[in-house]
Formats: sequence, structure tokens, C-alpha cells
Amino acid sequence: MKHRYWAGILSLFAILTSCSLSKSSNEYNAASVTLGNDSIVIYNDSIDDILLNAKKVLAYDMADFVQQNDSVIKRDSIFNYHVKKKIGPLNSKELNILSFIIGDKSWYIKKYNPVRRPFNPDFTLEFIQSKKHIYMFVSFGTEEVAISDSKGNFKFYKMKDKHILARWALLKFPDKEYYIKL
Amino acid sequence: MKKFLLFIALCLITPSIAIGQTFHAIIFANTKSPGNPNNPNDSGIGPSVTVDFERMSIEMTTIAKSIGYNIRKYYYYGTQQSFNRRNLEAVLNNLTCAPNDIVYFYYSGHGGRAMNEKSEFPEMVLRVPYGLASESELYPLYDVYNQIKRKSPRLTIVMGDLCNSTIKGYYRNENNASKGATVLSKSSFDLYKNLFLNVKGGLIVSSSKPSVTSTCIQTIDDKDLGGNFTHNFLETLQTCVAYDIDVSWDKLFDEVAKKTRKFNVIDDKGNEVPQDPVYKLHLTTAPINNNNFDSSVLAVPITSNDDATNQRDKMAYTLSKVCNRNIDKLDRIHNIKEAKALFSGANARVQVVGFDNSTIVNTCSANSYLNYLSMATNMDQVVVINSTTDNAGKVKYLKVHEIHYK
Repeated sequence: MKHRYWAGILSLFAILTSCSLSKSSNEYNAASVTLGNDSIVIYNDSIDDILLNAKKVLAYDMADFVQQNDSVIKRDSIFNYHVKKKIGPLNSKELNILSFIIGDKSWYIKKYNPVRRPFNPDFTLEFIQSKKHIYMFVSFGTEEVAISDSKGNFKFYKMKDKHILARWALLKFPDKEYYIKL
Repeated sequence: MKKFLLFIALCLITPSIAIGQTFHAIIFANTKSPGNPNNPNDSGIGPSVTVDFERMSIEMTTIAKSIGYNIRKYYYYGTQQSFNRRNLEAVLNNLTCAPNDIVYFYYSGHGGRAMNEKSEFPEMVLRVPYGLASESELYPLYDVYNQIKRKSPRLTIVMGDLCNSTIKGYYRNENNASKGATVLSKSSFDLYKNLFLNVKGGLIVSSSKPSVTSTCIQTIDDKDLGGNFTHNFLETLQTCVAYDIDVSWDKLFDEVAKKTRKFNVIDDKGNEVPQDPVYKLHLTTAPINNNNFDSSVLAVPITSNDDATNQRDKMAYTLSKVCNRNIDKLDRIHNIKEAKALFSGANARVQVVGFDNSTIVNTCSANSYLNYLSMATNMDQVVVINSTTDNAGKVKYLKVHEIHYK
């Protein structure tokens, strides 16, 4: 009889504990793990058109997040992001591989929670089509890309897969050790 | 004359005896971290870090109370003037520890790792404004651990909720080293004593493994719950207290890691991969005899580095003198007058929140709250979380958390 009493108490405790644990895990917003993306546009139709069909794309290596020697050297910038070095236009092979990667609309996760690292682009791509310019800023540290029109209207996305773009960047940019580490 | 000198000597000695063992609570929290100026939808991690900061301050007060230690707070948050590397170095350099002291360091904010980092732990970014950081604004979490260990406290705990992803082009110079009221019961005393007084050594923990980011979490209706790691650490610890579960540090962190891993990031194949904390424990069992402390004595707060913290502590002490069960009921009623003088008048409001810092337990006028405190039968103290004041410096709104006895 005494054993039954303790078994009852233990069962009640187990139920209470599991209720408490499942409550705390269910209350989370699962936004950052939402892979599905039913959107048919990335930014909007006209910007998507330039992004996916531009004939000329310029690449920029961007200033590192941490400034050595405690000084920010005066540099060119795209909006308020400093350029470290102009790399120049992509060749057709580089452009084709890039188009394949960024053309996958499910690669862009639109709703996600903030991460504990500031957005700082590692490189930027400038897409040019008929005098129209749009920009893609890639920040591997936060696993985000930002797309901006020529006026600086930004939209931010989390990359579904940062490594595929990192492998592409390895071919194009300096700091190879960094892209290998990714 | 001899008697007088003896009296003076006793007066000088007495405070150090009264202070006894100290629980050094060091928090660096980037509570004002702004959002990306290019992203109007980004409010930054500031609100999430604020949740971490407020909850950790409640927890540290509870721990110190439960194990009979005097808490000494070193809180750095808010503006760049407070949350910076210079202050971190000053705290670490000036820290003095008695052999039985405990040091608990907690960081919540941005982070990343150097390309040449050898440890598994990241560097803190001690900078409030958005934008590029200078090398002098970074500080490795592992160096904090080493520096505190060199002060030889009984127990060193270093904990960070920050990203651990690699920073392009950054090579570290090796010389640059740098839900209701809390209820105190026999089980909470035993649990905290087991974790803090029965072991000796150190532990260091960070919220994610190398090359992985750390995320903030929110409720479905977008209310900030803090960092994924910090939230799960506090939930697990408080579940153990609530259900009297005997837990060791390694079992605690196994459970925290299991919960933190439930919140995923995305891997290179588009699959979900877990946010996996990293921790190292260097602990040995070494019980300390601390049975003769009287937990019900209301301790006068030790002065902190931060004026706002001192003000909150002073306010909390004044309110606690109205509710502490160790103080005579009549004296508590007399103390209402002093507490009432803190408030702006009849319109002043008090909000009581739970240990999750979000569950609202009660909202009422300051006057009725003071009456309630004076009549409370089993209360220990009030923790002031934040307040707003009028032009005369009187409190218009006060957010508090209560610590009761079972």
C-alpha cells in the first residue's frame, strides 16, 4: 500500500515535470527554423529580374568587422558599408554559378530571429542592367544577405545554406583561409 | 586610552567579519545594442539582452541569498560609457577574493571568434553602437576565466550568450589577452549550496560551438525571451529548484545543452542543425561548512560600481524593511513612511513580475503595495528591476520581483 502511495506521488511528479518542460519548449517562436518559403519573389519582380538576369556584376571585398590598429581608414563605401577593395566584374563562369545559387528562391529565409553578431558584409555584389543598379551584401558572420535597390532600400534574409555561397566566394575573393573555415 | 584603541581596532575589524564570504556577481550586458540602421524591421538584440540581464540579476540575488553569501554586484550595461572593455579590465584587475568567495561572470551581447582562436570560446564585442568594431573593443571569454582563476576564489563561473562565428580577417594578437515570486525553501537552499558550496574550481560555458551563431528567442507573439542559451539555463535551474531535483553542474549543463539544441540553425544541406553550447568544467568536490548563517537576516546592500544599481538596491532595501519577516511587525509599519517617501504620490504604480521577468503577478498603487508588504507573513525581500521617476526624482513606476519563503 505504501509503495502504491509513493508510485502515485512519483507519477504525479513526472507528469508535472513533463508538462512544465514541454510548456517552456513549445512557447518558442520557430521562425528561425522555418525553411519553407512559399514566396514567389525575393525582393520584388523588377529587382528580382535584375538580380537573376544581370549581364554585368561587379564584386567588392568589404572592410573587416574588426579594425586592426584601432583605426578606421577612410574608404569608399556602398551606402554605409566600407569597401576594402574593388575586385572587378565577374567572368561568365563565375556569373553562371552565382546565378544558379542565388536563383533558388527557397534559399532566402525571410522571417528569422536576430543573431548575436552585427551584420557586416564580407563582400558585396553590384548587379547592373540597363543603367539600373542593385546590390547584394553578404554577411557570413550572421548568415545573412541584404538586397538593396539603388536608393538604399534594404531587405534582409537569412541564408538557407551559407556554405554553398562560401565555396563560390573562395574562388573569387582574398581571405581564402576565412572562406575555407566556413 | 588602551580601551579606546581596542575599541577603534574592533570597529575596524568588525566590518570584515560581518561581510564574510562574498558572491561577486559580474554582468556585462549590451542592453542598448541597437538594430541595423539599414533594416527598419530590426530592433537589435538590446531588448533580448535586457531580458537576460534582468533575469540573471534576479537569479544571482537568489543564489547569494540561498547560500548565505553577501552579494557584491558589478553591473555594466546600457551606454558605451558603462559597457566597455576598459571597465571589464578594471573589474578583473581590481577584483580581490577571499579563499571562499565565489565569482560569477555573465556576458550577454554580440560576439565572434578570431581566425587564430585556439580555445572553443568566442570573444565578446564590448561596443554599443552598430558598425565596425576596433580590436580594443573585443575580449576573449576564456581570458576572463583565466584572470578570475588567478584570483583564487573558491569557485569561478564564466558564462556567455553570444555568437561564436568566425570574424573575417581578424587574427587575435596573443599579447592582447586579455513565473511567480522566487520561493526560498529547503530545496532551493540545498540545490544552490550543492552547486556553489560543495564544489571548488571553475567552469566556463558559451552559448554555441565554434563557427556557429547564437540566436535570441521570442514567443509566438514576438515577446523577447532573451538568448536561447540563457533562457534555457534559467528555466532548467528554476525547474530543478521548483521540483527539488538534485543536480550537479555537469548534469545541469547536459540538460541546458539538450534544450538549447532544440532551437536550430540551418546547415550546408539545408537541414536544421542545433545551436550547441560548449562548456568545460574543472570542479572537485569540496564541501564548505556554512550552516551557521541566518538566511532571514536582511543584509544592507554592498555598494556597486553602478549608480543606477545602487539606487535600485537602496530602494529594494527600503521596501524590504517593510516586508522582511525577521523584522518586527510594528517596525515594519513604521518603515512604511520611509518607503512612501520614495514615490511621487497617489498616482505612483508598482508592477510585480515573476522570476521569468514577464509574468505580471500584480499591478497596483504604491500605497496599497506598501500596505500589502507590511502585512506579508513569509517574505524575505523585494528585488527592484527598474523604475521611472518624475522631475523631482520620485518614483512614478516601479517594477519589482518578490522573494518569499515557503
